[in-house]
Amino acid sequence: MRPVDPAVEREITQFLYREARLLDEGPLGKWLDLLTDDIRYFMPVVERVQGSDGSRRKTDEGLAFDLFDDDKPSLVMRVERVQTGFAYSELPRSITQHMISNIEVDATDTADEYSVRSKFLVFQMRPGRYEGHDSTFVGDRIDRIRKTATGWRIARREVRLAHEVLPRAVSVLF
Amino acid sequence: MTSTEPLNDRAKALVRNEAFSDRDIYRQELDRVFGRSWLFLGHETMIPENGDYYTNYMGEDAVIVCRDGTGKIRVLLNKCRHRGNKVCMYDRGNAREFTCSFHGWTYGNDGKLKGVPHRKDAYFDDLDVSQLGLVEVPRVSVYAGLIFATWAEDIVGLDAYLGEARWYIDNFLTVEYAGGLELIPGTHKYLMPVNWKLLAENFAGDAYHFLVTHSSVVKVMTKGQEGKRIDSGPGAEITKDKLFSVALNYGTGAPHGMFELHFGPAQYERDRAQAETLGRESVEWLDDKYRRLMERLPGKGDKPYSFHVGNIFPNFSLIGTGSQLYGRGLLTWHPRGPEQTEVWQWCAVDRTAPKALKERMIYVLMHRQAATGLVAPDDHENFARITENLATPFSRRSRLHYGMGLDHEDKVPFEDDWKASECPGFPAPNFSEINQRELYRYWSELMGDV
Repeated sequence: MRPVDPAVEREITQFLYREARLLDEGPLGKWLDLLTDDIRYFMPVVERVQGSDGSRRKTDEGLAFDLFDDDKPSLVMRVERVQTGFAYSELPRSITQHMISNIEVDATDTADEYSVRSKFLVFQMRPGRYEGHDSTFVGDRIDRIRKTATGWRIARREVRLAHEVLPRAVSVLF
Repeated sequence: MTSTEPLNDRAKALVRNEAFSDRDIYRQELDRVFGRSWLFLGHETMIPENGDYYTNYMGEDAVIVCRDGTGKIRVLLNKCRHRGNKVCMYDRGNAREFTCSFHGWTYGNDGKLKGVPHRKDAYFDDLDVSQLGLVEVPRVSVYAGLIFATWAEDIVGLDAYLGEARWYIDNFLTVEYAGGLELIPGTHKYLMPVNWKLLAENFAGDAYHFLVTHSSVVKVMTKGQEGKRIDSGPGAEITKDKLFSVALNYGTGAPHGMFELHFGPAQYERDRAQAETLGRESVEWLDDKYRRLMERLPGKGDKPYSFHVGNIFPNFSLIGTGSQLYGRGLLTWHPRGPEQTEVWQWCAVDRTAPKALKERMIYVLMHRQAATGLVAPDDHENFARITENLATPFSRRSRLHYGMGLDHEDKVPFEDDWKASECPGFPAPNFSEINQRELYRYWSELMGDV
């Protein structure tokens, strides 16, 4: 594999941190701007299948009931829903903390496109006193990050959750 | 408990908070409700081959649903008879036997104990293995591919238990005459901090919440969506359609309910416009299914086309065919304490649909009404807020109100349409709490004195 210029690695790392801040602090419209128009945003379910090492869907073959299988308009609709002011799961808005670590950057066959792995811990706090009001999501992301004329963009994101049972219905993005 | 009011005051349609928060009542429910009902466990297409299995729960009890070496579907308690350890830790697979990880007792997929390490030295060959198979759930029954089981030896059979719900399952859920269902791999599982009954009643009869709780969804869906993989199905425009709720097995037996039963061609026409974006094959498939449905349904005039959601008592909810371009959701509300539910959801599609249409159906269900969809998080939020208010000293004194339509249950909108349709069940306005009252009527019967 071709070595990656440390300057590129640093740029991509900073890009992911800034992206995380937009997810936490908004505006989410600016986060959408970081996605290419052909993005595939994808989160398979976690399953433990006897006799398979794996446990989760690995390829795009076959039909599966994923947790996310979004294109750009689908993600736009998720953001627009929150922005309507009537999305009660985000009224008032959750406080979230996206923590991103273990970033690995690899070159790909396409110039200016990198395969980037990272790990995340997303802490979500809802208002209220009930003990279910805070949730933590943990997992891996496998991204395709593309350099464009207007800056770095996410062209593909596969989110692999560590959870089989999610701590709550999901209104946050990863 | 200090209150002398009944848990479920049927005359006033008030239910006490303790029904949703009290641990003793909850423990009794697991026996009296979950132990005395037919519980939904999955679909036959999940275990096509002998030896195929998946794990699930009946109430809080972990079970293995498997097809044994002879092809028979069995439901086995996932518990070793020696020290009680689980014998299977996978979600699904294919196995001839299940071996306990503690001392190695091994069971066949028919549940029989067939291997005990050191049986001669340790037990002096004096162990009656025929009495030590995995505990088997005594009654398993399949209706239209849907697998159910019950611990109760003396309740009615599954057909009678489903009763009037069968007609709706046949025509709007499984639709076997048009090819039947295919269960799509992938189980959405998530926790909701709320008693399972509030979820079951929501699917049985709460059309009333949709335009408020989910107004954000209606707003984004009615925005210009050209060129998008649109969510089809009911939006704000549905309020102009002829819609009903229906109470099934009303007043007798297990209460099942559905709402937003669409009459007339309006939703079909919306679906058809959507199918056109997917190509000719999808349109032809939709037209063919519609034609078969209309031929099959009795009656004259406007006929039902779909229902939006429903609940089969106690904890099996359906996301129906609000639209035919909508993957059907099969949900189980697994009780996890008085104030916690583990939601499981599957997606099923028509086996005969073209691939493009299947993909659309799965996408729409995932994006709209699933663990990560646009709809569920807003329900989650409301339920979490309700649960906070259940057990505090003064808050708990005001009971939950189920009076919508209480003294008007004989009033049916578009009554002529309903009568002409010859649909089974007791019809009600789309906005009605008849199905919630029915749920608590039967729940009280099962619970007896608590």
